[in-house]
Amino acid sequence: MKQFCRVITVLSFFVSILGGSQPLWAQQQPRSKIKASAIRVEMIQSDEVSLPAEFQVALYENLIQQLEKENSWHVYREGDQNSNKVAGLVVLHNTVRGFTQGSERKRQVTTVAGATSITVHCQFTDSDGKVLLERDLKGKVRFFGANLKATNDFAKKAAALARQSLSNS
Amino acid sequence: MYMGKTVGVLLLGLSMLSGLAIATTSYEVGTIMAVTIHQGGAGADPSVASYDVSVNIGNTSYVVLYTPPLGTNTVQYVAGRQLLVQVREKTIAFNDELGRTTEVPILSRSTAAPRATPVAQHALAPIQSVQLIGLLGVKNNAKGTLSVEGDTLRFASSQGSSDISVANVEDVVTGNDSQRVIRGKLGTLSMLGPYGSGRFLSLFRAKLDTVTIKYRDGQGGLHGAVFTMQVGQAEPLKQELVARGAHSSAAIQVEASANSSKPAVMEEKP
Repeated sequence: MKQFCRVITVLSFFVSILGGSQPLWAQQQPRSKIKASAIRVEMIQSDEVSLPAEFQVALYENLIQQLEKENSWHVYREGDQNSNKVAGLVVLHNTVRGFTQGSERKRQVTTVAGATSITVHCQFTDSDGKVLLERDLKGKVRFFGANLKATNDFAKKAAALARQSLSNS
Repeated sequence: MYMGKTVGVLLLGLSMLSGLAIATTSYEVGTIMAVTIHQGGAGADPSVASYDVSVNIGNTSYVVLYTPPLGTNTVQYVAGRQLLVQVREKTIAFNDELGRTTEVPILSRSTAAPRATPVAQHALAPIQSVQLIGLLGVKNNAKGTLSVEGDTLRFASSQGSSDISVANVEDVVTGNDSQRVIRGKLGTLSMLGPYGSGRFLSLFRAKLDTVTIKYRDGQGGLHGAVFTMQVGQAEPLKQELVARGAHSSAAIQVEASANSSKPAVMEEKP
């Protein structure tokens, strides 16, 4: 009897943990997807943080390449006049919030030191500037590869965010 | 009486000559050097965009105020273009594609800086480089040659070539980086070497120059491209591009950094 009570207690404990965590997990899921027929990517801004030009351009180009790979929307570049009259256009603004330039040599020699990381604030707005979604994403390169690989890591995460949050239908 | 007739004829002749002189002020070729948004005064209408357009005509550089027709902003992308202009006392006149004459007020005039040094005018030899990212029609990390031919920046590789009009280049920034001497598949395998030999080999690195450019396509879309090349080749390439009409934020920032205590990287930010 005592053993049975213990089992019941432990089971109810796990059930309460699972029950409590479920709503939290549900909160993290987007309630409904944002309708978008096309995305226009604006050039990466880095007013607060000093960012080398090659990182700025690599972030922008990698982001466009990753979004184009999704094949879900037409991707426009900043300044493209064809995007002005597109209905359901979502504009993606990116602002660099943090940048640590590591060292490829340090990474290869020590394995644990020399990571490069970039934190970018992504903001999806409609064509009128109304914010639809915003999130901070981080791009990193820890072990292998050049520092610019961090820009590709960020771009993959941003494309994944767009895939989860936007719908073209 | 005769005297009066003579004076009358002379005055008529003079007035005709002066009128002829105005009418025959010839058109000259002007080169648009830069276009910036005009910072209006207190009474300016913020909804109407006006632009300060720098035009070189002969040895004189003029800055004129241009307000494009409503709904058009293509003037932002005309730097490097040449057109026929007529310099008047306080205005500059030019004809658009439809033949309509437009007159714009002159804001300032100054002696134009010499266009380029004779060294920069020499054609730059093709540069062996790697296109890391950004060029249309070329795969990332493609090896090839980068050259300036006429008013075109050309990257040619075994997979194809890509041309960019120098006039459409909005920014050229140089930098530096380094890469492992032993790289590629051999470099990856060498990391597995015994007794930390792979890590030791990682210490041997070759320095590189990088060139980052931003340019516009025909629809006004902004592109960027990053190239790497051997040390010492980036700066001549940048000079060549700027001499042919490309813009560079870094060229201005070199002067700024001399008077500023901010780090150099901060100055290079476009």
